Amino acid sequence: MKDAAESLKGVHFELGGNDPAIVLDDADLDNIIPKIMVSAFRRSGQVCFATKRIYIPEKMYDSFYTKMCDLVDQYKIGHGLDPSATFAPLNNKVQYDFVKALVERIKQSSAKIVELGEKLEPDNWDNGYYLHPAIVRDVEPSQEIVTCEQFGPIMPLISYRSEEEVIRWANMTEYGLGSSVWTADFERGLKIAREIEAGMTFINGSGQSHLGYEQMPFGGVKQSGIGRENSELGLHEFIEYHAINYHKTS
Amino acid sequence: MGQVAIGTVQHVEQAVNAAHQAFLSWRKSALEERLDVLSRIAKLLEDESQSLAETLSRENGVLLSTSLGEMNMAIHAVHATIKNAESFFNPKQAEDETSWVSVEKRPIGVIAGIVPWNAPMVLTIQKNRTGNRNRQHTRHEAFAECSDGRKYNYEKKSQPCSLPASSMLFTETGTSALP
Repeated sequence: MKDAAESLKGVHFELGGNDPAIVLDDADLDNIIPKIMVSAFRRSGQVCFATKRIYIPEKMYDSFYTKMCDLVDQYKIGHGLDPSATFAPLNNKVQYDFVKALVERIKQSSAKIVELGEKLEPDNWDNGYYLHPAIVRDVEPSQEIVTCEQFGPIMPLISYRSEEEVIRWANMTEYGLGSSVWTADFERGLKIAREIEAGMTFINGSGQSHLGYEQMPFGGVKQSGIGRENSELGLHEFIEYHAINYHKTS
Repeated sequence: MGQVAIGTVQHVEQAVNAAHQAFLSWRKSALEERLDVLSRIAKLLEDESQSLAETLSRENGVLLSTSLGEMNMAIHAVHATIKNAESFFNPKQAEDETSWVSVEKRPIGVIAGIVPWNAPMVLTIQKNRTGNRNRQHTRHEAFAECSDGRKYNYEKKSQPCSLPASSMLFTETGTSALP
């Protein structure tokens, strides 16, 4: 940005995120957990607008945890081109080392982490950047795994007591890319969505629908970027306007 | 697994110059011509979808099904652009008894894009299609992995769009799981 300033060049950033998934107390867990998992674990969590933390009402917390662990444990971890694999390794060593160190720090904390999934080729485990998908429970709202962008398959579950509390926590981040709300009541979901500081909010889905991909400006607020991609708005990033005014003679 | 040449500052300069030369004629081309190019790009992506997806998975380590999904998104992005091009293309005009105003869109020219390592195909297409659709600008894309690997560190540290080419460098693309 500094380099661009000298010659007045425009810049466009689509940066990181720490997207919250907010589960409301009317949500059907059996229906939504598989969908949240898509957003949390697609590309082993290495997506800018992946779900990076999940907020669950206190009274549903244990149930959510148990159901999610059961499903995540079904992942088969293997090579990306192995047709029987449903979960692939991380992209590169730096990212792998970062996420592994994060896991070690979680283990030193009061939170509980469970590493799940089945190794398809245990003998080949060290021959790639393989990590188990993991769920972290009993985590503090301000703990590193909640506030950082992990960019890996480690998912913290945070218990909350009120809508006011969860909105405050969701916004308690330097990021503002995506976010999601999970509910049986669209109006209620919409109300919460409008309180979230983010460029995008998905209600009851992971990422954009077909129409959303065409219509939604993609990008974030705060430290998640400047400007938008996709949709007509995205095109405006790459143009200048030339206005022409003809004065008619009279 | 494969080899990738590492570019130099000179290579980047050459690429930007070539893009600028192409831009000079592209900016004068008609909408139909551009849409035709976009259609051909979509067709090529469709034809090569499987092999490109396999390459993406080899490079990135991701599941083949994820890479195929990424190819579909990229193709969809091009088709969506074709579908909506005309409405965006037209200038906004107003007129009264004494004057006439036209607000027209001009491309900003060659753009440097730095694409993260996680989904290089769809992220490149989302930017490139913009260039094609905006009538006139061409875009030069660099595939790069950050020196320290992490995406957000990379993007914060890296050079943003529209910088002088000399400030960009090609590096090796991502390596991940071994077969």
